[in-house]
Order: sequence, then C-alpha cells, then structure tokens
Amino acid sequence: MKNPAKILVVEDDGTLRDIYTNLLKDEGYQVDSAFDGSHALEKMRMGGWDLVLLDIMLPDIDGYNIMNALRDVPPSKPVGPIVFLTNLSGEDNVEKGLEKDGVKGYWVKSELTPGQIIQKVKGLLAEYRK
Amino acid sequence: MLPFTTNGKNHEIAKILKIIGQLSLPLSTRGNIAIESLHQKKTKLTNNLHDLIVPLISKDEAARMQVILKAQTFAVYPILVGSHTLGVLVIGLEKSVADLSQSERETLHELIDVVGLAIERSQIYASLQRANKKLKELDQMKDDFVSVASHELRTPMTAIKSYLWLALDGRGGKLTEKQKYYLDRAYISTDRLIKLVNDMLNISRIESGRITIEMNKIDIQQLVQDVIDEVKPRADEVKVKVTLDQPQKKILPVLADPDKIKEVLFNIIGNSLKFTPEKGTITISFESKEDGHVIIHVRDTGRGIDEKDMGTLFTKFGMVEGSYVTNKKASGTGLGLYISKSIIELHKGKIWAQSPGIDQGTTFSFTLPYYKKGDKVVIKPEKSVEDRKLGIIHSGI
Repeated sequence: MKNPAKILVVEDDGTLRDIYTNLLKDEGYQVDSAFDGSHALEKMRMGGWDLVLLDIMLPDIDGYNIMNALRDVPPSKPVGPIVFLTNLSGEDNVEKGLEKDGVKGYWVKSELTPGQIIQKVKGLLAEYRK
Repeated sequence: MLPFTTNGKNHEIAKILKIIGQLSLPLSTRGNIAIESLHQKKTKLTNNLHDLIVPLISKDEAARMQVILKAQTFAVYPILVGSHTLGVLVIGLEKSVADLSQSERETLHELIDVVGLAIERSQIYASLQRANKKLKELDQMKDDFVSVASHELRTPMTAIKSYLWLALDGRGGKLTEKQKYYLDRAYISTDRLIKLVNDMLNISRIESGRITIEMNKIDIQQLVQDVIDEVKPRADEVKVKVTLDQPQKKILPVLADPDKIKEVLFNIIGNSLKFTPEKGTITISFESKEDGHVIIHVRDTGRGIDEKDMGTLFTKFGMVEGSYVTNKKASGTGLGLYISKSIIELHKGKIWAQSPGIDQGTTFSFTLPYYKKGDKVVIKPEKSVEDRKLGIIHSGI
C-alpha cells in the first residue's frame, strides 16, 4: 500500500489490542497503539492520524474525558475522524459519545466481527481522507 | 383534657407541661405508675402528680405543679395496638374518675384508641420509608452491577468471537470440514452469549424504569418495510419469504419510539424465522381499529405453539421446549419476547400470540396508539444508533 493510512488504536485490554492492531496491519495500514488514557492523549495531541479507534473504559482517563481534554488543548497537527470502539453500550452512553467534537462513530466491539470492523474503517477513511 | 381556661394561668400551665414533657425515665424505674402502666398494660389512677414523675421531681414541687394544673386525678392509659404497648397517655382530670359520666368515659376510651392507631400508623409509615429507601439503594446496586458486569463480560467475549471469526475466515490456514463445524458452533454460542448479556442489561434498564422511550410521530408502514428490508438477507438464507400485506388505505401515523418498535419487530420476526421451515412465509399486516389504535400482525407458517406453552411465552427465559438448539435457525435467549412485551407496554399497547395448534403457524400481534394532534414528541434524526450523528433534541412538535 502506497502512503498507508495512519491509525491509532487505544485499547487497554491486551488481547483485543493485539487483535485490532494485527488486523489493521494485515490490511496494510500503519498502526500504533496506546493502552491507557494518558498515553492516548499524548499520541493524539501529536496529531497526524488518519483515524483513531478510541476505547471509553480506560484505567486512567476515560474516552469521554480524552475528547474533552483534546477540545481544551487541541492537537498540534490535525487528527482525522475519531471513533469510539467500546463495549460500553446503552443509548445514554452512545449519545454522550456522539456529542463530542470530532467523534464520527460509536461502534460496539462485541457486535462487530473483525471483517465488519475492516469494512467500517475502509468506509470512514474513504469518506474523510483526501 | 387539661382545662386550658382563660384565667391568665395558661402560660404557667404550658410551662409545666413542657417540663413534664421533657422528662426522661429508664423503663426499669420502679415505683412510677406511668412505667407500671406501660409494663402491666393496665390503666392506673392517682391523685398525686408526683406518682407520675417520681423520682425526677420532688414531692413538694410536684404538689405545686398540680395546684397550677388544677387537676384532681390523673388517669394513665396504656396505648395498646394488638398486644404491643406503644406508650402511655396521661390525662389530668378536674374531678375524680368516680365522678366521670358514662359518655365521658367512652369519649376517653375512644380517644386512647385513636391515639394508639395514629402512633402505630406513623411508625409503620416511617419503617416503610426506611424499607423503600433501602430497596431503592439495592436496586441501584443491582443496576450498577449488571452494567459493569456486562461490560466486563463483553471484553473477553469479543476476543473469543474475533479469534473464532479469524479462524473461520481461514486466516490461520485451511480448515477441515470438522474443524469448521466445531468452530462454527463455538462462534454461534459466543454470539448467543453476547446477546444474552445485552438482553439482561436491557431488562435491568426496563425494570428499573431507566429505559427512555422517545415518542415520535411514526410512519409505521414505512418502518415495517424498513425492517423487512433489513431481515431479508437472513430470511433468504433460511429460504423463508417475508412480505408486507399492503393495506387498502394508508395507515395513519402512530405515536411510538421507532428504535424500540424496530427491536420488537426484529424479535418477533426473528422468532418466526427460527420456527418456519423452508419455503414458508411470514406476512405482516395491519388492522386499523376505530378506537384510536392499530394492530400489527406477524403471521408465520411455522410449527405453531402448543396451547400449554402460551402462558410462558412472554415471561423471562420462557422458552418453548426444544427451542434452544445450537444452529443458525434457533438460538434465542428466551428474553426477546419478554423485552418486546415490556416495550409495548411502555407504549401503552398490548401484545399477544395466537396459534391454531402444532404445525398450523403462529400469529404475533401488538397494538400501537395512533398519533393525535398535541401528542408530545421528541424530534431526532432518523439514523441508526451506531452511526447516528447527534442532532439537537427538541421538545414539542
């Protein structure tokens, strides 16, 4: 893949982090990951991502608060679409998630197969990447 | 019954009553007739106030108080409710008990009974309030637990489901037919487990009243068509036809939460798909009622439901015998119809099933109210939950 899209995976569960990063790498994307909120925030603030898959329930700062922090101190380089990839369901949580600036989707992990995640990632990248 | 006359001594009487009211004695005190009355559950009489407030107030001071109170006799009545003594009521009388008329005695006894009941009621009320508060706390704890537990359960289940999918997709190498079969079964069971966790979370929300129903003016005909379009791939897979019986007249809009009604339809149609053999049909039709509601019928040509199973159909885990088979056709959680019933009831509608018998198909029906002018609605962009970009929620029409 020429000039592969850069994707950041934020996931505290080691097994799921492996699954998602390897899945995306196999598709030819350039993938980096973060295992907690503070590392995620640091990497997101550096910018330069074409897509961020962001978990909500993280050990230190949750996904919602990462988005709040990002709104208060914006990244130095632009960040592409951010998608919550979480197992936290419930309409109230979904609404709260989609309210955040820059959040383009709310995907529930347990409802999606790896194949569906790849399809959704491709769709979003096609929509947002120039 | 103390004589609150206007002789200018009211103030002093009030002061004495206040002093007496603030006295506190242990229940083990001996020689005090108020305590004796309480223990013996018997009415006591005395001509001396001192007997009631001994040993806290001296005999001389008690005598001085009694003169101001202008009381000749004190009657001490235990307040009994059933066999339980709640306390005593002391009544000071200007005359001696022997001089009381029959009607005065009766009035006194009635008063004591009423006081007893009033005190009992207030105690019951207070204990009910405590119990209620405790129950609410427990309910909240249960909700929080279910919420956290379901999230925690989903993480490893997602990992299992993902690895099984990757293996089935051939990413770990070519599989033998048997391996494929085993993994396929494991995958279906994992999916069922995930659905079970979701359903339980849903039920917990419904039962605690935390589910939000967002009423809207809905084109139900269109909504049913959308659902049919969505289930078509699954129906094709099991070779069952799903059709809409086009009504002669356009069905008027209903007042409902579209996402929730879709969930009900997915549950019912999904159920029918499980029990309808190849080449069968599922037909959805409308029946308009004069009294302001429409009935939606989902009729299938499936195996039908035995009369004896009708009762458990809409209950929690109320699965019909043999309906849990680990194949793609039947893998219910036993919670779908219970959730559907709860949702329809939140819409003030009814849901029921009818079947002429085994192998004669089943019809599931539910009612929804027509939209009326002035009904409050929530306006929301019509997108699926997953990708819905949030619009501002307006109230009113």
